[in-house]
Amino acid sequence: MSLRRFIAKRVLLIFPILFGVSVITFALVQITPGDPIDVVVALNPDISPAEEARLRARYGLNDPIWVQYFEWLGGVLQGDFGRVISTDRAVSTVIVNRLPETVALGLFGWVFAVVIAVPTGIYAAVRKDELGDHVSRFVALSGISIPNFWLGLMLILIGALTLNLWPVLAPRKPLYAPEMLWYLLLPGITIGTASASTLMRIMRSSMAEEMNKEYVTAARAKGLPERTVVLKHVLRNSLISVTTVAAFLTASIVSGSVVVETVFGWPGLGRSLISAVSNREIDLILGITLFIGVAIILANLVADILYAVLDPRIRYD
Amino acid sequence: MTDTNRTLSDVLSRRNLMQTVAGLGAASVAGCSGLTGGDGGDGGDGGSVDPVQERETVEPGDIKEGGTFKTAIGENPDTFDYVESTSASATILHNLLYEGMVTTDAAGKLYPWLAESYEQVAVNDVTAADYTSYMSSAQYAETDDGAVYIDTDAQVIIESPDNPNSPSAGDEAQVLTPKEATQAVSDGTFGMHYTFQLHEGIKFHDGEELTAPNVVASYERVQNSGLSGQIYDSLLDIQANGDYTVELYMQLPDAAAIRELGGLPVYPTKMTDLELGQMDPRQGNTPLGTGMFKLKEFNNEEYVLFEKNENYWFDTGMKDWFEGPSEFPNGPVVDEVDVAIIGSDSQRAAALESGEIDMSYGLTASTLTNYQQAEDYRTAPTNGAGYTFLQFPVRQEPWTNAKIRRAANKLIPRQSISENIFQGWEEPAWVPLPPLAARTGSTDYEAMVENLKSYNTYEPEAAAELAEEAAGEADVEFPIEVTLETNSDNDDRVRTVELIAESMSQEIDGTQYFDVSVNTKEFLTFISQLLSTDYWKQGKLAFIGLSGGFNPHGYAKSVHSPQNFAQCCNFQNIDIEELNQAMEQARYGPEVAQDPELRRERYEKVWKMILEENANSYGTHSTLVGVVNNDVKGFNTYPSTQDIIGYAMYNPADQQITYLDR
Repeated sequence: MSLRRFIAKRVLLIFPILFGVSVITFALVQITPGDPIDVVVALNPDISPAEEARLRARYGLNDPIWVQYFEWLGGVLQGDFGRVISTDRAVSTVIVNRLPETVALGLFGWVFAVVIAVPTGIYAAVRKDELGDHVSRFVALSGISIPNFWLGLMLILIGALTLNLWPVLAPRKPLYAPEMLWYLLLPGITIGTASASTLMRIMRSSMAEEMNKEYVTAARAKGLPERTVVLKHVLRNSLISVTTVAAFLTASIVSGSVVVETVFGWPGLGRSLISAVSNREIDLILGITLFIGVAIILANLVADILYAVLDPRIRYD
Repeated sequence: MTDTNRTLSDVLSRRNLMQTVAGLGAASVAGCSGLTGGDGGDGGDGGSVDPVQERETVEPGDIKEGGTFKTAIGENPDTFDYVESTSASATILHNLLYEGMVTTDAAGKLYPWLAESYEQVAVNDVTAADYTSYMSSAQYAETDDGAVYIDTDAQVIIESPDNPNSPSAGDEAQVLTPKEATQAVSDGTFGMHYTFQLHEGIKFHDGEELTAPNVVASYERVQNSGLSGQIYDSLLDIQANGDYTVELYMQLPDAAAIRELGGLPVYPTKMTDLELGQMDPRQGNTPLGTGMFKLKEFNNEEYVLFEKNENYWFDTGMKDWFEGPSEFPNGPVVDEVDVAIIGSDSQRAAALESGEIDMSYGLTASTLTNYQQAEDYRTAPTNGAGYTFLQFPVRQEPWTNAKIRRAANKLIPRQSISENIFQGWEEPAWVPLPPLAARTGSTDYEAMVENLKSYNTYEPEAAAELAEEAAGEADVEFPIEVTLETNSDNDDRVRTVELIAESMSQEIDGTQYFDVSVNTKEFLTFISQLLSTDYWKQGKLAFIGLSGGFNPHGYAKSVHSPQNFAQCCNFQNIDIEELNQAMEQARYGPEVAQDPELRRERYEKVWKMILEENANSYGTHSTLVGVVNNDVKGFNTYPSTQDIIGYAMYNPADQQITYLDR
């Protein structure tokens, strides 16, 4: 199968996957007790049954579930993702407004992961079974094991409260302001740590495996400096699997944003999703979930394509 | 620190606000023979003791002007359109922008505000039946989940007492709508009549002068809004009489009417012309009022920035009731109020510690204790309007027996809960009425507590005795197995419930009378189940928090009235006829509307009846605590969260003002 055909097939697969994601999400929201009007009723002790009925009718909540779902789906196909009932805003507006923050955080986390993982992985592979390797393994395992929320809270505790170098609250600067790099550091580290650890271990394994191969022995026999052998020959081949894994890790960074944005009060999609879930804002939950689904699917697609491009021996069938 | 303390304490927030900002009304004529009330506003039926426990006072000469007071709230404001808002957090913001005809001090004493004075003009002995000849017809309809309602686009003000008790879809109902209400008023059919004289020359933020038609339009904007249920359970009609006189009519002689109605925000024409829900920057409209602050910047889900209203109308010299020094400012002195929106309590506390905000609130007991012991912060405690309660499944065996309920109540270790879980920040609820509403709901609060406290003291032996007596009257098997439920997102509450369950499950002289398991649920899940029409059939105990106000009625009605079944907060279908009548007689009728002492006496009967029946066990009365850093001077906390910022910034009734010294 050609790469082009493979991509086309994968792109077509996106639609049934997203359909499945939306059905499952919709069903999960429906079986969870409560809807946005329940919030209104709970917070309005004297709201009349008539007003409650009017509100439910206005947002179609009296319709059978399948009608609600297909009405939502029909809207989505026309670019209308529904409304946030509590604030009467379009879901698409919320997503568009929040997306840049989430993308910036994700990008920072991703770059952080790569920048930390690649040199550390190389170092660990070169120093295999030495103290440096053991230390890096310990650090990587810790990075994978520590929950995002705990790491985030610790960074706030140390960075903001002990050292007083970072703010606790989200910055009020435009995303393009240079200071934002500083503000992104703590949430970026939090979101990127697990990925950096995973990537580092892959890098190390990959490098170590390559270094045992005959071409490396041959290069050394030819008298090439070790630095050239490692950085020019071994690194290049090792990067194939690392690049692929890095693309896959994008998915975990996207999903990790939900926790990290909440801990740091970062005004992105993840925080909006948490808020939507606690308020049973069905359209917003569906909209953001769908969006995250698209991001994850695309990340996986890019990973597959990169894999094929970097290693032409790979064939798709 | 918990992630969130979201509780049903917010549930009555809207009503609570009305109570906190509403005017004096009939009670102001205590001891007077009738219709000469309207004392021009020195209040009367509010509390007499300042609920602020450690009030920090400010010398006018020390006040420094300027600066930005920074704080945070836990939720994004749902809307700045007051009548459509259900969020307590949003009301904190509204109170900086909007004002009503009357206001109150921290003790609940009422003062004319946008009004120069008000007067009780008439009290008539009418009932809902007196309106039937004015009513029009409408039909009942039914929602998918079986709730039957009157299907009309008009605001229903009063339903005919002759309407069917158990209506079905298609049945006919007789209702009074605003159109007919005006006709009834012109014929002299109304419960009470108040006249408000507005100050002349008050300007809205957009420069429009406040006049009586603005007030009328603002009140009429409530029709069919989210707030309509809370206003139209008392309001009959409102009319402008010239430019500066407002005539307010109530449906019934209602002792709490002014407190319920007098403080509704008033807006300029630009705002009242908007459709419901549109008074919001997210809809492209800047909210406008007469308030001491103006909205400067709003970034949805991030922050709200207010700037001082430099043309604020208020002048202490124009209020007879102002008792402070002449140098006391005529408005707030901070230039800006910056309110960050931070969902988690822990993050708000961290922001306070890092110096990014000046004030935080809603913190757990252990956090408050830490702040209390820290030199760099001041805790400002105030008797609150909140309370916790445990509601019994009164229609399920064996809980139908009041002695079983009272036996369980005797095993609730209130003192221990107060000391060990709340570290003294909350007080045991010895009676259903908190100290905050003592003056309106009791003749002698201390004596009442002394007399009734024994109902709520922790006494296992007495509990065993009551349980045995109940077993002698009916078929009861011990231990009674039951599940105690609460919301999981409030650590203090969960610990309280665990302690109650453990205490109830103890063996007393070798017998275990109750076997209580605990079930916690996420807030909205729990609320949805509580509000369902079949929770009462499940036989579970529900434990939750709620908030009242200065009006004693809320502390009884909210959790007992059959009208509140499947709403907030009669989840177990409590309907005790004798108690219903006692509650009605304490609030409604010409006698109590004109005689606050009689009203207090009647409420005392209500509290005793509540303790006898024990359909609800009241747990603790709240303390509301604002925590500020040392840059903040003069900050005191208002008894309800909804005015925690507005009150602290400026309230001349208590000579309350906050300034920044940095």
